[in-house]
Amino acid sequence: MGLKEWFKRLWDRVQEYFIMLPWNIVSFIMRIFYDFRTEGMQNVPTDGAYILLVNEFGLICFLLSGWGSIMLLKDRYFKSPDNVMSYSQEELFAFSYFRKSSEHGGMMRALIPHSAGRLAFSLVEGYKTLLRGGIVSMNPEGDMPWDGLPLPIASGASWLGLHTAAHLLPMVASASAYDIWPRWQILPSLRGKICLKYGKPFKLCETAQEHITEQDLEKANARIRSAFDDLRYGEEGISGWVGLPQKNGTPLQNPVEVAPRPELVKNQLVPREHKKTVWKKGIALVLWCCPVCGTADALIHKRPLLGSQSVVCQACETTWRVIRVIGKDFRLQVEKGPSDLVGLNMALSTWYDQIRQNFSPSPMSISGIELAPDEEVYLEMNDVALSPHKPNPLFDAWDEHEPPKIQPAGKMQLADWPSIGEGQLFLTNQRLLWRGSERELEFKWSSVTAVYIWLMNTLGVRYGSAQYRFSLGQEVGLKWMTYAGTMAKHASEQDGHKVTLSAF
Amino acid sequence: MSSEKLLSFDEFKTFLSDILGVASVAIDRDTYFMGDLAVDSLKLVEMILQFELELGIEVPTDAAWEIQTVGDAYNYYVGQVQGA
Repeated sequence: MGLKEWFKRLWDRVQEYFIMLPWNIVSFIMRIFYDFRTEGMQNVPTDGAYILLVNEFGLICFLLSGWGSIMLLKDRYFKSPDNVMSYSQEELFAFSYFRKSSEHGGMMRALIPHSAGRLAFSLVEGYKTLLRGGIVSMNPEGDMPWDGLPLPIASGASWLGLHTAAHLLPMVASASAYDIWPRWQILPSLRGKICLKYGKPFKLCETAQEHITEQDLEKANARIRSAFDDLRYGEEGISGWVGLPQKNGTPLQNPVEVAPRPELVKNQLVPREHKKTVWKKGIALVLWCCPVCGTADALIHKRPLLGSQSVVCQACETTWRVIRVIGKDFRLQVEKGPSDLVGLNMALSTWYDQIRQNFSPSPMSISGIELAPDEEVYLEMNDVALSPHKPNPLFDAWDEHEPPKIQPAGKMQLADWPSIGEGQLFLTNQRLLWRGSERELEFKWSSVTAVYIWLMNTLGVRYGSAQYRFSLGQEVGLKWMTYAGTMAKHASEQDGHKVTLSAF
Repeated sequence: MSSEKLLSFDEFKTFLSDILGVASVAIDRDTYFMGDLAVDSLKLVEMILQFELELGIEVPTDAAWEIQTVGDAYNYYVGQVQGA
């Protein structure tokens, strides 16, 4: 071995050490707090093409999936960097490490779940990587749920799997990853155990398909979802994770329906300015309206340092005790409220399902906005920052009332969403109207092609092919997603255009 | 579909119409894929792949980002065939 070769190997080892260092620290911390271990490593293919599928359902999964992916990919990457490709959240590219990796032809590619738009073109690179016998990692595949229940997954992995007939390797954390750090909780709990599971590889088809249909994709998505669910919930299944409703400790075999009763409202809500910071709202980020009286933004999640946690409705004063069941869904038991509900104990996801089933948008009366015939306002909010994804003609001269629908051609500027200012946002049955100090922009539902929630309370909207985000301050993102998703879906059913929505 | 013979614009429209699942009459040179045809991301990816599989034209990601309209796509196709 020559001196040059020796230095190259040394340099590779140094790089590997520094790349792995943060992940080794993550692994060490998780071993201490959560008895972290892996399961099913024997399922990981040692050579040949495969698609690594990662599904996240709790915030700790960010760390777990990062660790799990890099452990699998690093050896192949150091041997042959061109044969490893990893699709990750576009937001990661706000960090220069990821951005540079992408810019210099490295392994990272960006996607925006439910709103990839033109970023999705890089899937063709993933396709070619698989044809060369490489690995493609989809991290994550699908949405992170609010209530812990698995969601329909996106179609990127299915598209790759069907076009290449490559193996798919599912990787998920054990169910406790949700109750340790659910999406609605600001910090992780230190109790619980975590296992990262690698499932058995499977194929979506035996031979690569040149042409695939929507039905092929739907069938493949269902197959992937089933693989995730089997791995995560085991024999008990989802119903075992959710558990039956109980009344005074007795399981109820039939589903319970809690219809909202507006007549129970006793109190006016406190002004918006006095509400908790959105990050601290806890379960109220999921239960954005009271399942008992139907009042929006009424619940407060109380977390005393000592004693049990509770959720209280400020409008009807119904009170629930919050019970964490390790490895299962959270339980909420009515402690105070209507006599027929006291003692009712249901999973958080079941309470949220009541809200979803009973949701019916009700218009508000508002002045100072010119409405079209049959137009009704449902939500409004002040101080909403509007951030287009660069490049966007709004940053240059644009004097039209409707925002640009076309994102200019050329290389996408990843994780670059500068604000054009704050304004008042109205959500109506016909449009989203943003009124800033210098201009007004209307986003008609008929041109909206995607709606999603980023983090807690940023509403993402793809308008034609152009991407926009509204920062909703202290408002609950899931409430806006519910209204916006309902309106966008209705518009797409009316005119037949396709709209992609994150779950609500 | 042969990759040796240059497709006319009408033939190219038929090719796109089959892939994207939209009527050929809705397609013109100035038609924006995402703005006017409301085609989803995956359909566009499928189009780029079929450029390669059916027409024998490779479209790198950076080049794909330049394609906004049907006219852009056709010009790219013609440029690649004639430059080959």
